[in-house]
Amino acid sequence: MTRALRRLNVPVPADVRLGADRRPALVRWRDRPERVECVLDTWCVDDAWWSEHPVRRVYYEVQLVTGVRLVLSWDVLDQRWLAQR
Amino acid sequence: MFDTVGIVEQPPDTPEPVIACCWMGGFPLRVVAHGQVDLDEPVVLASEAEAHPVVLDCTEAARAHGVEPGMLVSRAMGCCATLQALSCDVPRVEAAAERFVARLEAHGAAVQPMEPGRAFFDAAPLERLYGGLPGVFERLLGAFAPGTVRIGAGPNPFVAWVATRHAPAGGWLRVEPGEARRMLARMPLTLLPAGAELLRLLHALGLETLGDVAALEVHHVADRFGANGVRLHALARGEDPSRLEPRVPMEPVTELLAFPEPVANEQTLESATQLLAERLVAHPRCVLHAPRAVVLSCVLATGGAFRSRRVLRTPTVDPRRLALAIRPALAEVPAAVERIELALDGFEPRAADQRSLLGGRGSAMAGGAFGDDALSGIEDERVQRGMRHVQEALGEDALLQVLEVEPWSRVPERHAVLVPRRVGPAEEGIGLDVGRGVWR
Repeated sequence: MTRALRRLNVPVPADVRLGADRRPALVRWRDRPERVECVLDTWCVDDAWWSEHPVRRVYYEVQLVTGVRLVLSWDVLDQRWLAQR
Repeated sequence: MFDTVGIVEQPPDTPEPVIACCWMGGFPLRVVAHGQVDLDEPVVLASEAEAHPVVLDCTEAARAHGVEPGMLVSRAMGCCATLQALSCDVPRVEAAAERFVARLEAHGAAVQPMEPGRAFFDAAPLERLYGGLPGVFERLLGAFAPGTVRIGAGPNPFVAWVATRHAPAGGWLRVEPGEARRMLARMPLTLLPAGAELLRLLHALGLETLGDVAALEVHHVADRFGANGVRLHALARGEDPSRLEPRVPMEPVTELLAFPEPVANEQTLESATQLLAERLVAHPRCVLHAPRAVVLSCVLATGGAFRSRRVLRTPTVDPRRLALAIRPALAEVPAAVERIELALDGFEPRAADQRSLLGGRGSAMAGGAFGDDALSGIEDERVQRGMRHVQEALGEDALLQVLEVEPWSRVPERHAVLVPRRVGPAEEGIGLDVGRGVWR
């Protein structure tokens, strides 16, 4: 019997606009532009560089004005923004 | 590739703010010395818990003997034979700083606390309440002992701070917006929030006052000192773009226990924290909110205090987890404890505290951490039977559960995966691995 694992919280491409401080200021989330209230945390990941699926991203954990918390990441390899919860 | 969006809030028709700064000079020294020593004597406040303590602050009498903040205490003692050194009691100073801010808030001010003994607030909204700005300032000054605090006001925080430094003890000074630049022009450079190195450099360039800096061309300043220089140049001209960010006042959630005699036994302290944690979660705020941090404060029998703040991985109101989080700090308490206090901090709404529907005690689905009795009520035979029906009808993979795999990972999608949930056959009944999240 196959018991496949399924990935959870996979990041999805996002439309992110930067503020004057070069941090996310506006994000389109669930088809609505949402303003970023504050950046809670930032970190960089450069991992799995030895594999076929390397990860090189700059992460921003943000809180939107609606209270929703999101993790936005700039994918350095694919040159695009991603969003996940 | 990405546009830069300048997001500027434009509040409609708000009155011109009058930023005020309330300051009690030498606050930590005053707090620690209160009731112990006379501040007219040579006294220094020494940093605590260091092999070579340094002078954090000192009285005018100590300065007259050549003592300066930043000096080694051992060297300061050599300067003055009658010098008294007080160890900085950080929890006591923090508690006093909280009371300082609370007094301002009690009079209706929305306060942004800075370092202990200094806070900013907007006085304009209080103007009608107390019959004009002088009434506001007199009222707030009256909340403190006479001659201990000063209030300065201006169009922005920097001007307000400079005004405060020049206000008389126990009095206030307001700088009108049109007067700010003229007032600052005569002030020394040391008022700028710049490092010692930069101040030395400015002095070396022949600049002595804020007016000298303000007279420079901004592009020359930008070329030589970059963004930091432009910021300081704006401050010297009386332009401070920073806005006040008042805190939301919240009554602290604390519980304390005073022992009849000092306790050094760690097990007794553990029992005490467990008791305090159970009392804390009974607070009404814990009904809808959960704390993100727990703070332990102990008054020691040897004098002084011990304080430790532990941040929880997830906000919780489970008293066992709160006590567990603070337990490592108990091993660090340096002496017998006379009084122990536990406080909850960083409250967040509990709406996001989603419990597992099907997990129970020790469930992988529940992360093993929420196995409380509240779940046992729904973990009944009907649920198990329903799960088996779903699997019979839709297949083994129809029921999934979240399994934490790398919760520590900095890549969010690696924290957890969805795996098919195993439900035991009907004849095994409840009580085996059915609904317990046991994986084989």
